[in-house]
Amino acid sequence: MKSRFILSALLIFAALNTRASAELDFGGYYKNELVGLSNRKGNGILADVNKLRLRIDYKLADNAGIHLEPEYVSLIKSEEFAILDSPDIDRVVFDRAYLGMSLPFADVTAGRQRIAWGMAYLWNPTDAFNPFTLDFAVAEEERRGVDGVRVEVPLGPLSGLDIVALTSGDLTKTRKGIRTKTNIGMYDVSASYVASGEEGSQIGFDTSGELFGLGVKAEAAFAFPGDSDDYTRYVLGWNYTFDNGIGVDMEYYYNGQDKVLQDYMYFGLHRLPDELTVLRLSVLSNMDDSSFIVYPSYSRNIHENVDLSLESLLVGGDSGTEFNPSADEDPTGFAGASMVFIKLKFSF
Amino acid sequence: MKSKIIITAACVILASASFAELSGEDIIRKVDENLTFDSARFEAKMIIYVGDQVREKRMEMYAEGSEKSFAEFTYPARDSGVKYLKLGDQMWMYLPSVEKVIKIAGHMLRQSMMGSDYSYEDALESGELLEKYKVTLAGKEKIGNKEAYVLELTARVKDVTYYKRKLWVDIDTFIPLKEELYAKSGKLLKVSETEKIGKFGGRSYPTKSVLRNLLRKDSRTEFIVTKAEFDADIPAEIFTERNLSR
Repeated sequence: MKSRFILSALLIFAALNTRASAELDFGGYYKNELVGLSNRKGNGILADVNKLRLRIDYKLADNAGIHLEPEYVSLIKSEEFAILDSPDIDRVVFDRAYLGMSLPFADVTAGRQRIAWGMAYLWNPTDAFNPFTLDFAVAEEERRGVDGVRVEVPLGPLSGLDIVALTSGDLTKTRKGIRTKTNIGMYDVSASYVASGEEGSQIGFDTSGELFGLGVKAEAAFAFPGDSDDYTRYVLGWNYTFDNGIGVDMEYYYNGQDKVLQDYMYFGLHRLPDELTVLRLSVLSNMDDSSFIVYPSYSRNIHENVDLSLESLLVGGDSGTEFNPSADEDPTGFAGASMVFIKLKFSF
Repeated sequence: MKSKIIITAACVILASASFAELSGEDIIRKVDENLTFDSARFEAKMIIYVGDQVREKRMEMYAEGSEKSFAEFTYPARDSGVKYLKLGDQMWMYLPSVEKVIKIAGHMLRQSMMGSDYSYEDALESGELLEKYKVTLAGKEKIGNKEAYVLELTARVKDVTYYKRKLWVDIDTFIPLKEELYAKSGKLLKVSETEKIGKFGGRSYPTKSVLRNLLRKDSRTEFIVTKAEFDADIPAEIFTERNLSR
């Protein structure tokens, strides 16, 4: 309620500030996803997801503006199920709605926004605000926004401070963080601290650079929950592109928060057979229970602003494992279902 | 008749003398002088040909010397808002779809830039040819109707994208008219040709060039400068990570 009030106040303030330099910029995309899946009960289901996402920038002055990203999603399906990580299947949300202001010493962003901390590719343990969710591959291109105030203070071309406070809930309990970033030699390095009220705190470090021709990334977060044992999460990753154009990405993720399922591996291959086509193969594996997800995809830019992709999500491993749960763990039979997607995206 | 012979002989001697005065390294230095600038602002487009498919991408670019550059793609809509920052021999990219700044490091630099025949490494290259290559002047040849010095460059250091390069440099403007880029195995990887040279005040600058990546079938990328302003006043904050994510 409080966050809605803050957001509304910001938008009203911004709307009232109708300066002569006001200027509207408009873009976005429409995407249609035809999804076919077979659940563990053997039922074949078809669904069609329509997504319209607008990006609207309203310039209030040379140094201030409003950014809105309303999104409409509808789902036409052959059977009731929750595929989009949301009970709503005919919804409009304002996933981004913020006021941005550039001051001489800082950039201030207030409202619903994406706060992307961490330099690793897939998992970002230092990202306490928009953490990894598996639906990145299934339905979402963007990570969900969070309501907060962010102040970014530049301290040089590649250095700066990033200060964030979420505005949802009681301010004394809500999540707050500070991150400092710089560049040393061929490496970007950063350190962060996040305080989450009664949920404790977290210290994080991350880096990205080059080692013996490999692109390397490392990220670690040390959590101090207060009401339970301290734990560590970290990611080690590298990438390489061969002379024939095949790119390889690998990431190892250690999740000390879970006592049993702690070790994960991501392996990705990609190749551009020509300038308009991308072939990808991604494998995400839980190394402790040997369950895995294989995600092959083919995408082609078939027209200036139109992309067509064929993708598949295949789940493997013994029944009762993380990515392939048993009937007791998931009576719906949808978790662990293999899926096929045909996606058509038009950008404007 | 005698005087004509004397004048002709004098011209030949003078021409060969001026040719002899310039070494391969001198010519590369003149190329660098021509192509580097204190600051510049460009509007440009890349036209990518893949078989019978054509894609156009437009961008705004800012550069300070050969060490700092910033590019923002403005067209088409699917690429609008993608930004690149180059500082020295490092590069960062901002992808609006994930709202994240990504450092492009290691062999990732070999990948195609925005689906073009250019790689990130091609974009990163700055005027350091003399540090990295041994230069030999191989003679003169005609490229179209233009006379050009022919230079052969062989890497003196290990860490180069192209082990050998062959360069044809216009003897009048000192603009490279053609360049062939080779792997260590001797395989020809890419060919670049300058199709138009524009005049900006007293400066000559290539305004249309074509790059062919020979590892790709039936593909070429035209790079066309539609607007150029040299010695422009560019705020220092353009070349910052802060500007990438704005």
